[in-house]
Amino acid sequence: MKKRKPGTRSRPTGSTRPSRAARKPRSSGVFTLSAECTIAESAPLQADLSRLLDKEAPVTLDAKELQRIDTAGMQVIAAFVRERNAGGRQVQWRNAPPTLLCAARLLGLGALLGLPQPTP
Amino acid sequence: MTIDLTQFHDAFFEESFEALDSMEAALLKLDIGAPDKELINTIFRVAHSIKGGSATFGFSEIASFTHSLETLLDELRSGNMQVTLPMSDLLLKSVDVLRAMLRAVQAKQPLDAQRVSDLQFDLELMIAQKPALAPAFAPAPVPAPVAAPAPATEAVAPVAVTAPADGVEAAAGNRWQIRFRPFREFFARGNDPMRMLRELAELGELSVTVDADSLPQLAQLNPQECHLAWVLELSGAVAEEPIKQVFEWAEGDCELEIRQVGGRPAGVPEAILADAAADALLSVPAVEPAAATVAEPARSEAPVAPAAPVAAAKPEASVSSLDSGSIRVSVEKIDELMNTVGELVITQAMLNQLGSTLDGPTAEKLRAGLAQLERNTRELQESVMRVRMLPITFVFSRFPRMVRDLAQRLGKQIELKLTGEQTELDKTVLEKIGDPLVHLVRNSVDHGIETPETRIAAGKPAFGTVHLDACHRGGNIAVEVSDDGQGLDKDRILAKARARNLIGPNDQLTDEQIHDLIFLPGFSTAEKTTDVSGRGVGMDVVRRNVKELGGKIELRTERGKGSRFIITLPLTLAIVDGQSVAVGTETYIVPLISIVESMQLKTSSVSRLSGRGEVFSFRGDYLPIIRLHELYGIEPRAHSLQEGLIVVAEGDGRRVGLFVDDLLGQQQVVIKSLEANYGHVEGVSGATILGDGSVALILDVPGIIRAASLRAAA
Amino acid sequence: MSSNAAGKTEHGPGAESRQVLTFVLGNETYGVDILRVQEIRGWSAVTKIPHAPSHVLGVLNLRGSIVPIVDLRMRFALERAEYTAITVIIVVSVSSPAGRRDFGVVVDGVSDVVDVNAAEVKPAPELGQRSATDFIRGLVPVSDRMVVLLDIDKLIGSEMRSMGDNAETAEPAPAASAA
Repeated sequence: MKKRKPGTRSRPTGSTRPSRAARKPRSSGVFTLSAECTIAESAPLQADLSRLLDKEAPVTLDAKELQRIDTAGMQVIAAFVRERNAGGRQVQWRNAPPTLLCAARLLGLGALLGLPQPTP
Repeated sequence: MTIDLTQFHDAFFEESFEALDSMEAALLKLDIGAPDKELINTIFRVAHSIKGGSATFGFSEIASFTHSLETLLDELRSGNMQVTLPMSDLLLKSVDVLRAMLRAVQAKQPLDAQRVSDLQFDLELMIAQKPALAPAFAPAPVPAPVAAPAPATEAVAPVAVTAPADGVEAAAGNRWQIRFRPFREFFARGNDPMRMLRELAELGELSVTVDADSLPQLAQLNPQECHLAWVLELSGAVAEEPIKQVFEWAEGDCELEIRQVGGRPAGVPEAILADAAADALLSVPAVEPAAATVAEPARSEAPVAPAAPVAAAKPEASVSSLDSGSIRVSVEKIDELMNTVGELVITQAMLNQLGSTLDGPTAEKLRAGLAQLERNTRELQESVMRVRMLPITFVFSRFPRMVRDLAQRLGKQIELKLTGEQTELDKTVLEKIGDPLVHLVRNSVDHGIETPETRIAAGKPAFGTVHLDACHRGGNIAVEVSDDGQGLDKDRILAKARARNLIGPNDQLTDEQIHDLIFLPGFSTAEKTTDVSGRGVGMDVVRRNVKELGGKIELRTERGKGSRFIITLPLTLAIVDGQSVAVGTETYIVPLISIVESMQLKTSSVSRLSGRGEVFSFRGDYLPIIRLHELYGIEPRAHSLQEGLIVVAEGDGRRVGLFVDDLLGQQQVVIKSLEANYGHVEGVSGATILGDGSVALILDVPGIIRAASLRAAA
Repeated sequence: MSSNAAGKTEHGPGAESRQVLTFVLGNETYGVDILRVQEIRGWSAVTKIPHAPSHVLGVLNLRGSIVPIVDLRMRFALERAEYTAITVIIVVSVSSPAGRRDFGVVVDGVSDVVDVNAAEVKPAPELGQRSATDFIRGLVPVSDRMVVLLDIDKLIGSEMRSMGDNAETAEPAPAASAA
C-alpha cells in the first residue's frame, strides 16, 4: 500500500505496542468500516469486502467509526453491495453517520447502497 | 459609535494574498491569442475586490493602482483588447507589485512608490494604446459600475462585486442539465467528484442520477480508478459560469456537457440540500423535500445583500471554497491544543500501565474505562493533528510562476507537472520544506533541463519536463522533484570528489554513494554558476534543511535521462515512529526512518580493520559497528556481538551497525525537547516519555555517525 | 533596614525579609530562595544523558517536561551518598540568557522554610579561588546553625554554559569519506 492518510496512523503513545493492527472482518458478519474510507484506503477496503462477498448470512456494515469517505471509497462499497444484492445476499447498515448519508446522496448512490433516503 | 475597521484588516490581507495567488494561477493558464473568458473574469474579479477592500480601508495607493489594473482588465474582458505576451508579463508584474504593496501596508512600512508608479504608468500606457478598431467608448456587454473613469474613492468599492457582468443572465428559475463522466484516472489527478457535486449542490437545488453501469465486479475493480458517471440537474438562480467554475480543475480529465433545459424540475429523485451547513439535517433519515428547498432562497439572496467590507473584498471565484463552513484559527491555539493532547497521551499511557498492575473486580471495570480513554485520546490526538495538516499545494502553487519565469530567462522550454497536490502534511513541515524545494526545482530548470537545441539533438522533445509529486508512503510523506534533463555525470562527480580529497584515489563507490557525494558541503556540479541557481547555497544546505525536519533526501540520476530527488519527511514534527532498543538498563528510541534493518550477527561476518575498528559485511559492503553502550558509557547486558543485535541504520548517506542489547518494540512517540531545560546533546535529537513515566532519549542517527567518524579519524 | 531590626522571628513580609528553603547536604545546611522552588519530590530513577558532566545525573519527566537532575554532593565534591527512598529532589527554576529553565537538585533532605533578614546575611569569606564561592550569596545564622545561601542562577547557570560549550565543540566537521 503506497499511500496512507494521517488519520490511520497508529496511536502515538509512550507505551510499547504494535504499530498497526490489521482490521479483519469479524466472523459475526458485522464489518466495521474504518475511520477513513478514502482513496488511500480503498485497496485494503476492497480486499476486506471481497472476503465477505460470498458470505451466505446477511452482512452488516457498521459505519460508527467512519469519519471521511470519498468517491473512491463509495465506489468500492457500491461495487460490493451491488454484487451481493445481485447474488440475493443481503447487506445491512448500522450507525450510518451524516457523512455517509450525505456522500451517498451527493453521488446518487443512496438507493444502490440501500441507505435511508428521503421519501419523495 | 464608529466601527473599528482595523479588526477586518487581517482578514482582508489574508484573503487578498489568496486571491492574488489565484489571479497568478489564472494568468499563467491564460493562452495568448485565445484567452479563456472565464479566466479573464477570475482575474478581473480579484483586481476588483482588492480595489474595493483597499478603498474601504483607506489604502489609497493600492486602490489607485488596482483601479488602473482593473481598467485594463475590463478592456480585455469586453474584448476591446487582446491578450499579448507583453500584457501577460505586465499583469504578472502587477501581481508582484500588489503583493509587495499589501505586505508593506500590512507591516505598516513605506511602499516602493517608484516601482508602483512605473508599473501603473505602463498599465495606463497600454490602455491608451488600445487599438482603434473598437469604438472609443465601447459599450461593454454590461458596463460594470467600476468602469467609471473616476479615481477610486471609498464610495466605489464595496457595492460592485455584487453585480458582475456574468451574473445578469442568471435569471431566477434556470434549470441546467450536466452530464459528467470522469475519465478513469480522475482520482489519480487529485480530483474527487464528490467535492464537485457538493459545490454544485451549494449553487442550487441538485438532483443526482448516477450511472454505475461501467462499475466492474468488486474483484475486477481498480479502486484507484473512477468508474462512475453522473447526470445532474441543477435548478435555481444559477448562471452558467459558476457551474463551469466547479469543473474548472477537472478540465481535460472528464467528459462534460452543460446545457440549459427549460422550466423547473417536476420529480426530483434525490433532493440535495443547498448548503453544506445543512449536513446536520441530512443525518435525519427522512428529510422532507420541502425542507430541502427551504435553504435555497436564503442563498440566492446572499449576493444581493450589501456585503460587509470583508465579504466584498473576497474574490467571488473562491467563495465556494472559503464558505464551506471553515474558520480561521491562530496556529498558536492549535499548538497549545497539541501540547495539551500530548500530555494527555502520556498521562493516559501511565494510567494504562498502572491499571494493568491492579487486581480485583473493580480493576476489570477500571481497565475497561481505561481502554475507552485510550481510544478517545487517540482519536482526539488524530483529530488535532489533522487540524494542523494542510495540502502541499500551498507550497506547490508557487512553482508554475517560478518555472515559467526561469525558463523564459534561460531560453528553455519547460513543462511543469504537479501531482499529489492534495497530499496533506503538518503545517510546520510544510513551511520549512518550501525553500529546499525551490532550490531543487531551480536546480532542475537551470542544470537539469537542456536548451531546446541540445534536447532535439539528443533525440528528446524540445519541451523538458519538471515533475513535482507528493504522496504518503508508510507513515511518511515522499516529495519528489524529477526532470528529464541531462542527469548527472558520475565520472565528473567522482573526479571532483577525488580532486577535493573527499574520497581516496582508489575508493570504489556504489552509484548510491556517488550520488550522495553531491550533498557534501561545497560540492556543486555546475561548470559555471548562473544567476538562477547562484553559487552560495548548495545541495548540502538542502540536505541540512531536510534533516532538520527529521527527513532524508536521495538522488537517482542517469546520464542523459534525468534526475530524481526524493525527499522523505515525517508527517509531523511532534511525533516520530520509532524502534525502542535496550542498552543495559536504558531504553533508546531509534527513528524508523533511519533504520534499514535489524539483524543478528554471525561471527564469520565480523572482522577488524586497522584504523576502522569493527566492521561487518552487509549486502556486499563493510559497515562499521558502533557499540551504543561504549558511546554512552553504559554497562550493557550483551558484551559480545553475538549476544546482542545489530540495527543497521543510515544517515548522511552512510550506513552503520548500531550494536544494542535487544529490540523492544515499535511505537510512535511524542517528541520532547531536551534543549528546553538542558542543551543540545550530540547524537540525541530529543526525548520522549514512556508509558511508565520514565524518559527515553531519541537517537539522532546522522549525528551518531558523524561523531563516530570523527573519533575514528582522530 | 528599619522595621525588622528587632530580630529574625519577624514574620511580616518586610522588604528585607525573604523566605528561604533550607536543605541538608552532608554536614552543611544550604538555603535557596523559596520563590525559585517549583516543587519537591522524591527520588526516582533518571535517564542518563550521554557526555554530560558527572554531577548531571540525567533527566526526569516532570509533568511532561524533561528536566535535568544535578547531584549537589558531586557538584560540591562531597562524598557520594546512596540514593534512597528519602533522597529528595528540589526542582528549581533558573534564569539564564536562554530564558527560564527548570533543574532538579538532589539533596540529602529538606529542613525547613525560614525567614531571612537581609541585614543578617554576611558575605561569604574569600577562600582562595574566587570561582569556588561565586555561587554563594552569603551566610546567615538560623537557630544555632550557619546556612549557606546559594545563588542558584550562578550555580546552575555556569553548568549550562559548560553544557552549551560541549554542544558546540561537538558540532561536526564535514564528512570525510563516503565509503
